[in-house]
Amino acid sequence: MIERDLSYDAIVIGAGHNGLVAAAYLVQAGKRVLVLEASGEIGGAAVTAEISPDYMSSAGAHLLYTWPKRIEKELKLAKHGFEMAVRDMVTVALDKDGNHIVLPAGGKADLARIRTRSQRDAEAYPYFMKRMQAYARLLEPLIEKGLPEPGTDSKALARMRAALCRFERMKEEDRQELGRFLVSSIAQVLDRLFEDPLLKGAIAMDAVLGSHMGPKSPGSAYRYIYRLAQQNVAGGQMGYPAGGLGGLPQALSRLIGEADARIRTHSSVKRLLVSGAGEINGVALEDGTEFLAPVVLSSLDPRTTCLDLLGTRHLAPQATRRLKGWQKRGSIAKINLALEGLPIIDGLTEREYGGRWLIAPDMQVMERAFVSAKRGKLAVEPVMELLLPSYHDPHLAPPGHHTMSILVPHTPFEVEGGWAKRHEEFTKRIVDTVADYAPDLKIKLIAGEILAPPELEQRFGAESGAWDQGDMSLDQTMFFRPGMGVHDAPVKGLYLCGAGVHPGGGITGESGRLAAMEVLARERTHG
Amino acid sequence: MVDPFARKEEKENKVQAVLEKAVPAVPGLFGSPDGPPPYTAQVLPTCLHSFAAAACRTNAWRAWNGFTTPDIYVSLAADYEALRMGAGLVDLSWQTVYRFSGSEAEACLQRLMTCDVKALADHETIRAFWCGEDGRIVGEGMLMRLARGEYRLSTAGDHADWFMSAADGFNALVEDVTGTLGCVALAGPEAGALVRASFGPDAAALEEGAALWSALHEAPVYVARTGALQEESFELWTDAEDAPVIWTALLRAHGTSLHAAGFAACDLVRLERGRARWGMDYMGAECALERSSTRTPFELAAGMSVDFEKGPFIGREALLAAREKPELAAVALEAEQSGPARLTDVYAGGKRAGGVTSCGWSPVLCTNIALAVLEAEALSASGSFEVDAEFEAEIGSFRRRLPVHIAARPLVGGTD
Repeated sequence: MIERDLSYDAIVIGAGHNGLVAAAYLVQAGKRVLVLEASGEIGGAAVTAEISPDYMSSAGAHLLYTWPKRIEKELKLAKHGFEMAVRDMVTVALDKDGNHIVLPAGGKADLARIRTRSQRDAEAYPYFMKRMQAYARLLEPLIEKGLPEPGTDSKALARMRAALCRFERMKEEDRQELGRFLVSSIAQVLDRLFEDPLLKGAIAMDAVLGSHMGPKSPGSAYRYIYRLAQQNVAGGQMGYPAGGLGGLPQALSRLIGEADARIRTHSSVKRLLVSGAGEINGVALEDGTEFLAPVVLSSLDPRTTCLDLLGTRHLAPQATRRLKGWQKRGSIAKINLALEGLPIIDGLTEREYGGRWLIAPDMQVMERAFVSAKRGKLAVEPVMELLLPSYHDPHLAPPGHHTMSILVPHTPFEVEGGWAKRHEEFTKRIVDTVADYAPDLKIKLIAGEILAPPELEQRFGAESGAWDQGDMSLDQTMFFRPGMGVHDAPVKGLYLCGAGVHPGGGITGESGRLAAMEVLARERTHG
Repeated sequence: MVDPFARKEEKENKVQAVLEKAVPAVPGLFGSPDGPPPYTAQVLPTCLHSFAAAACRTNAWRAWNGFTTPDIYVSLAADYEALRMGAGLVDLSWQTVYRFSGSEAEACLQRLMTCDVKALADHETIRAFWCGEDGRIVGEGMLMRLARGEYRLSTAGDHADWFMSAADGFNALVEDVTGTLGCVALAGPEAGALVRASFGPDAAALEEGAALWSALHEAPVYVARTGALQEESFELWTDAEDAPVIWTALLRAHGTSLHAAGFAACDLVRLERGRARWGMDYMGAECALERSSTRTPFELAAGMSVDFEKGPFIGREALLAAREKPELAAVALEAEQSGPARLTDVYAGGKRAGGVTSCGWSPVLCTNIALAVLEAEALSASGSFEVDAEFEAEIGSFRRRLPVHIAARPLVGGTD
């Protein structure tokens, strides 16, 4: 293929949701943008795929809980065919005896459910949530608007001050509590307050899902409030789009396609082109094609972008060392099942059927699963997050039939004996575990697919299956995560816009939005 | 009678045994049983150690950069006189030396250093600084281009990790060759004449910053006029095993005008030139505990070593900003005539404005001189300064506050 159109205003590497959001904002500002995607499909881990003919499910990520309404509005995504199938999903912690818990327990009925299990917990829960929200509010200004770069931007510093102000207004006692909280494990925090293992498991799940951490890992408590803050910034709701998660990138690509921009798939970037003056010039693809642009946004993780694409010769030794120490460990598997009918679970109401289910009977089980993963073993009692994509969007399965989407945290990337040999055993363990709660699952099961961490890596390009592009731990978030600052992208004109930069992982689009905003802001100030 | 040394050793062995028992399961904490324990500093002799020791009548040694070198050979005054009036022979083999080689060594150094390395021709030397992303100096040294794709950098401190990280991605090799080379400086007004006598007129006529290959008693010598020590100074580089030959040959041939000069005298000469020393007047950004003890080249009045026109290099953006607004100013101070004293805090209008980083009594000026670091604001605001001085009495000491003024560099001698 002979390329004629080689020069653009900006090039975005990677057509994951962050890359597409960044491109969309730039397109909206009237820029000529080229999006380069290595694989054949767009969306990264946000895609809808067929399990077997007529049965569709979100292949990778399956929920939107940190997806800000603000981006939807600003990009007018509804105009481009984006529609949420459901916005107000609840979390249901499944109990084998049908005595489930619904979270967040905002209403009286939900609290009453907790009370039937434990009087003490029902009293402690509102207090716990109030405190967590207070902590989360400290982080919110910095997540929403990005981090200030020291000594440069007075507006950004004002945001920093807003966060500090919130901290100053806290009571001394709360501040001390926060200090203890930040380095604690979620298990320590929950064990102090609650007694019901199911409730503790359900809350702990939010702290560890997607990370290489168990509920007893130090720092997991911080991850809980970080997620809470991200959720609050996004609007505090949970749901998924019509057509599965693939609906989101599709809408974004329609927006980009309508403007003077293009998305080029099967275009793996080999290296970034840097001019003699140390400014970005464009990119070179594996096939040798070179595209030119004064601005390049990379939605790949910082390490791959800087060490592999840019090359250490353009980095200061400090940056090289920092990037080589960048931790990104994935330990999650995805299973999609096609079902002949709705699985019957004792004690679930209609609202709860359409919710996000958790199988995490207690924190001990979760910790054991984590420890097994750490040692390269499969968990004996796996924990998981499940939902029925076809429940709110019936188009995803034939009438009366359903699809089930399962995320299994604490699945080792390298398993004893190798994944090829243990696929089936793993699937069987998962199905058996779900069948403990939905006894008719095995009868209704028609087909299934499993994506173990190595397959997630291969399919979505998320190295080691780490979808956050870098652990969301205390030492790799906020000021310790690369942002849009001058020092974070070592060459002028290069911006990082993936989950590996602040504010980090989850289907948020915030990294993409903030990067695009930074590009436009710098253009305004420097002409 | 019990031998006290034997007992001491016995005691040390006991302590070691107790420690090993207490922490038995941590391999490597106390090293292998045969090798030395890790994380303990070992001060090494230079390749000229025994020859320097023979010339050193005071037996006063100075440990610097992991090596010992004589502090004073005869007396501070005699050593100083050699450097100022005749010619001094100085052992500089304690320097850390790196070799950069490979087809991209130049590109690597160009990115690493703030000066324009590309402008360096074969057998040329330049004073070079390397900074971090934030523009703070990591280290400084003399960079020599020996041939195309081969450079030698002599410096103080350990920068191996920094250089190797920086060379990552370039076709360049960085080697620490410290100790394999001997370096002797020949400095003073007579130095030129001595170099002419020993190495020929070409060597004596070398321009500042130039170098050439010569030989003495069949031993190849690289004669470089670096000006690192003082204006009229030559560095003689040889293999470590040839260094004693050069040392003794020079002393034997020019016994009347050439004398060995120790670290203390060199330091005084350095002070008179007003040059800050790495690890003494400021710390490298990699090893400093406090940011306030690090400097940018502009704060050291070494702005001419930063070339913004040469293209990208590490710290360029930060240095551009630092050039406009230096936070601190490193200045040379000259006190009113007085006896030798130790200078400490500097005051402007009664308020503390900074501190002295190194000081000494200059025999030429007959007064105390110092390098100090002042807040940039205080420097621009005030004209008169005072300094706290501690004088040694016969017994004990007393303090005075002396008026000082900021002196032009160099404090002694011609242009620097």
